[in-house]
Amino acid sequence: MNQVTKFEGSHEDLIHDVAFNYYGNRLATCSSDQKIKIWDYNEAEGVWESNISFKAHSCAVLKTSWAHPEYGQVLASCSFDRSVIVWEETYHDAVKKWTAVATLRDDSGTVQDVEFAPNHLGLRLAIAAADGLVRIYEAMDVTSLAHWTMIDSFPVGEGPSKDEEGNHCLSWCTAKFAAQMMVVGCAKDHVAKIFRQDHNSKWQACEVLGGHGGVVHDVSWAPNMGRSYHLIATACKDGHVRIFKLTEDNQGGALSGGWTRKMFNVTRIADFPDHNAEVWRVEWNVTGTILSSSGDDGKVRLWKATYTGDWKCMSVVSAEDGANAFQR
Amino acid sequence: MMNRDMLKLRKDPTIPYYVGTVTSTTTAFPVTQRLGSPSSTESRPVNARHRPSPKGSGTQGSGQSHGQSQGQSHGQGQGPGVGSTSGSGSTILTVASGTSAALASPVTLTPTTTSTQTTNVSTGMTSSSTLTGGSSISSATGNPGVGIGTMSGTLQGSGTGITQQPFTGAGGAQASNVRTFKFDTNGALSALSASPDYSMVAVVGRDVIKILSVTDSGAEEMINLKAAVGRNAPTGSMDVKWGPTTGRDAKIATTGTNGPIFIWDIGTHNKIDRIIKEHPRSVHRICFSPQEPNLLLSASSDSTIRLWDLRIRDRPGIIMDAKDVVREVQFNPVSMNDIVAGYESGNIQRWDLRNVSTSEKKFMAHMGFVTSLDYHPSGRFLASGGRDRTIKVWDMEDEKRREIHTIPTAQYTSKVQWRPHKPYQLAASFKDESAVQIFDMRRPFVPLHVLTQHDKDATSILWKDTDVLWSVSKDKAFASTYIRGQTSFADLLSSGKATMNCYGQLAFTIASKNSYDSFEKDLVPRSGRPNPRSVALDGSAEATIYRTRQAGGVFDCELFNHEAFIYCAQNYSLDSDNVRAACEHNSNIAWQANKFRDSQTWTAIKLFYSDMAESAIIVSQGEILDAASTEMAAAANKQRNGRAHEDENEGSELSGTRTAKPTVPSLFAIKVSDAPIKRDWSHVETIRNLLEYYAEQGEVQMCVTILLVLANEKDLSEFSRSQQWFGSYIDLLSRFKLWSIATAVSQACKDPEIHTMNQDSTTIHTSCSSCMKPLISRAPTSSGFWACDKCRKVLSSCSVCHMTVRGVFTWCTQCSHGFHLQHAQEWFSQSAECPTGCGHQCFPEMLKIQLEQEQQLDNDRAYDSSFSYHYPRPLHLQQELASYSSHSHHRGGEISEGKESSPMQYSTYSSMI
Repeated sequence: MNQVTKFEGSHEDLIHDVAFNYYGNRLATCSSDQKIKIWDYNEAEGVWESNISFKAHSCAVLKTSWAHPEYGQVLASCSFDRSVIVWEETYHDAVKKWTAVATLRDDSGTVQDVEFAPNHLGLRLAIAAADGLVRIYEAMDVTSLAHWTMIDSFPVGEGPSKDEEGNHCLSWCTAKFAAQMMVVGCAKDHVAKIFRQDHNSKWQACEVLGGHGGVVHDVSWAPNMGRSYHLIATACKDGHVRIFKLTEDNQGGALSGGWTRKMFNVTRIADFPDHNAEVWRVEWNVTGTILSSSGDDGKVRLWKATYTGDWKCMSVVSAEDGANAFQR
Repeated sequence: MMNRDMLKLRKDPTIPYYVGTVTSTTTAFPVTQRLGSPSSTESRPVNARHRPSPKGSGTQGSGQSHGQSQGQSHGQGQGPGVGSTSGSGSTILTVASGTSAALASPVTLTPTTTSTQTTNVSTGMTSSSTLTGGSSISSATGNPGVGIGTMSGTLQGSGTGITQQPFTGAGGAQASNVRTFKFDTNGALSALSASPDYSMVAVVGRDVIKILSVTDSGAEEMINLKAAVGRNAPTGSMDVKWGPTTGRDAKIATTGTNGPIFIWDIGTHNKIDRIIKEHPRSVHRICFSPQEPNLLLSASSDSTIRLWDLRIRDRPGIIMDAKDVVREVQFNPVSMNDIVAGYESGNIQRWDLRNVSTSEKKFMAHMGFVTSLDYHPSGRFLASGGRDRTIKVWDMEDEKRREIHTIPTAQYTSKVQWRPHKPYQLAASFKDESAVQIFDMRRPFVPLHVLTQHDKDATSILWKDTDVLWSVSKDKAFASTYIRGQTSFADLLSSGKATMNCYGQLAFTIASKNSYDSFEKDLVPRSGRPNPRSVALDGSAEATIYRTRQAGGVFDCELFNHEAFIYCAQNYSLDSDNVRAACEHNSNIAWQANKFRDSQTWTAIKLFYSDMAESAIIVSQGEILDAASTEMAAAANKQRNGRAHEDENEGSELSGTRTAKPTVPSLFAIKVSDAPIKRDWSHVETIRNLLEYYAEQGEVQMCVTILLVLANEKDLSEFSRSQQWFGSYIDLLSRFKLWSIATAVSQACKDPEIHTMNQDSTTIHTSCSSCMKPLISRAPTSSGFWACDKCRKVLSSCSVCHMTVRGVFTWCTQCSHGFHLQHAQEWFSQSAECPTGCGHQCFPEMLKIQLEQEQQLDNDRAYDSSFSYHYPRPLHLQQELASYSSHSHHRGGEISEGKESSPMQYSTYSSMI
């Protein structure tokens, strides 16, 4: 288990996303070289092995997301080529193969983010694109993934933004017993917003996570795990990692009795400039207790709350001199 | 770039370029001095310091221009420049191909025009005082490429609906900056071609044939050729080329609908000089020879390439029979007789103009037609774009015709062109794509720049110089993009990502700043594969290719102690009937898993919820509970002193550590039943805090296990977020594939939503045991099927009554014959043999005895242990289903072996049928 598997040389250009599947025993990497590569964990040897690599898009593959294994081995990927492709692993004569089962292409510009909804919402996919819309698709028949219906689409900010103006990003709230929510990074608006369905099932912009000095490159909604509050992390072009705490605003809820635009009090509980370079991605671990962030400084930083509730950098992963140095 | 250098040489520097029209008289502004070559643009951004002294050139210019203006009073321009004849207003244009334009201004210049000029298309006219002050003005255009002075006071005169993006005028001396701008031509455009000095550009589209004058910071419409020729204007122009001849011979060629080629005389009159109508079908591309200015090539759908010598008016073209629709044709910029053609079939073929009857062999370059070709300035390499959405680079000196670079693109190219002075780079416009991309061959997947000036499909491109790219688009605009000001595309791409799985492994990729600047640092020698003959486009010895320096991998950084989690999940007792025992057990388990804090927590809970006597003893020893709890315990116990003596014997059993005097009615001598204590003395608040603490840590395992163990505590069952804890814990268990534990947890939970969680969307498929076909019946009863529709057999029939067994199905694991339980009991009380007559001794006498003994044992053992682990029901079912099907499968073989000595087993099968 302690062996290090290196990705070096596995792609011909930058890798933009790495994603574990639900069980954490498969890994997908996607790259500017237009390919997706799937890695499987070899439990006996304790190493990750790449068993397949396939050309996925005709431009850089920006992000990829695994569906819940209940629906099979299903991946979605999005790209500069303006499409989202849903991939399914199929067997033909005992040969595994990834097949594009559906291509979702709207007149949307670059598709900048894609993420499967939490399992309890069904087989759904949220897509953020350069035209400033978030679209939600649903596979009507989970036994055949070829048909996806757009069940919702809503604008997130001030209209479309060009690629150079920054990207949109989104992250679902995975809490099973909370309202359907997601946080969306709104490109050139330099904010992230929380979207929720109102009583007419229309997605509405609610709380705003402000204070960003640039494009919000990535957002991540921490797994709630039954905490009394929610945590959202953002990665910003201004070099900061920020953590927002959402505590329930009881008064607002009590007054309206039903849907309310202000359900949470948002406080920024951490704001770290440590990367000192563009921060590209943030992601929580499965229990929502450790945050990872990666930036242009060539470092991955891991953040954890102390017993007093302060967030601190617990370790820095760097790749100096080609070797992975792991410092605590 | 070779191509342009040659053009430059052909130009006679003494010919004055200029043009102008003023209301009554035309003023020419001759070029008298050329300080730089038009295409040497490397020093472009630093203009100001190149400004020459006005004196010498000024005087000279004055003399010459004076003469010119008099000679041209009829209002026509002279030289290769073009005067706007249609202009009713006054336009003064200086088109200077050198760096310096000597400007004579006999009549019309006023301070007003000067001031507007500086805010508009500023060309580095030095200052208004110079303009007004003397009869001769020398002005150094700050940029060495093109200088155009547009007196904007007269701009409205041209009146052709110019909608230009506003230029931020720089009134100062350093006025001239290279800018990115866009110019609307009022018609969708399909092609463009620049004048030899790049001061003008011809743009054509379906309804547009126009000539624009272009500076570094803006463009003006000069001539609307379509309007100039009126109703006879050709339509459907798909391509345009500006002839290399200059001066009076300046020509442009355009294509028209269905094959005609129009040769326009723009040197003297803005009219069609000649129409070549020999192509019976449409012409896709025309091309002037860079060396021989009067040679024109045309590529047509009629499967021919024709070569025209424009000096001889009525001479038919030389026909090259290509036997395939010709999409594209290009001259080699170095070797004048070498041309290359691209075909509809995807082939590329080289021709030698000296011998057009034969040609080199075609080679397959693309799947689908060749959309665009461009010779590398070296004349050796050829870039081709194809319908197969690739751009390929060929070494035309290599007989084997292997591509040395391939770039996969999202759309197919409409035009590719090598970037001057950057041997590895080319720009491409794409079909159905508004963005123009610039690639470096050494980094095939990530373009250097993606230029998004246009709103609709960019149709064609042209490099003005190394840093300025011109493009035309269906959005009706001509755009000039200054590359240095553009965002590097790689900067828009994320450089890394880190993610963690439930085993605490970290997968990450990281890279330091991956901007364009560092791209060239990351070049490595190109290995032999996949192109054994890798050739460097820049002529250097070794070909290189980009290798990302991004580091990445997966390693275990122990972010989550999954082993302890799994151990605890598997071993924790969820038994709520015996809180004390369960807590003690769990405490041990946590201890073994090295979760010492959790272990202490369990001990504490055990104390809260076990008998008061024991807790009191431990309180007296001052071990764990704090003072407050002690007081509470003491208070609670005091209340009960009176009725506490009832059972001292049992109380003494509790602990060997109790040495206090048993006869004294003290705190320690109390044995109270659970119920009354818990009602009055509640730990709910403490437990609540405990749960909050664990929830905060993300330790849903503890939250859920505590809740389950204390499930009988009414006050805790209403805990607000318990649903979420259960949901998260079950989710976590599923991630570790601990499904049976997840099911056990969900079964143990009293919350209806959790309890029924795994019953949603659970489907059980049934199939016939004899033909293995799925059971699909037209009329299934509410409880299942009677018989298989396919093989017409009764399902799970009883061997005694031959009816389908519904309910408990019992079968012999040896001969696999099944029965109703009741029938089996009846039958085997009479006989040991199978009722089917298969001869199997299903129930020998000795087994009867053995079975009875076992039953007795089972009864004794049942529920003896408080920690008995309850398997979830579905698992039971699963195992039995499996065993059932395997038995029925091997039915025949085992009977013939007749293992009569084998022990008879009953298996029950809670039938879904």
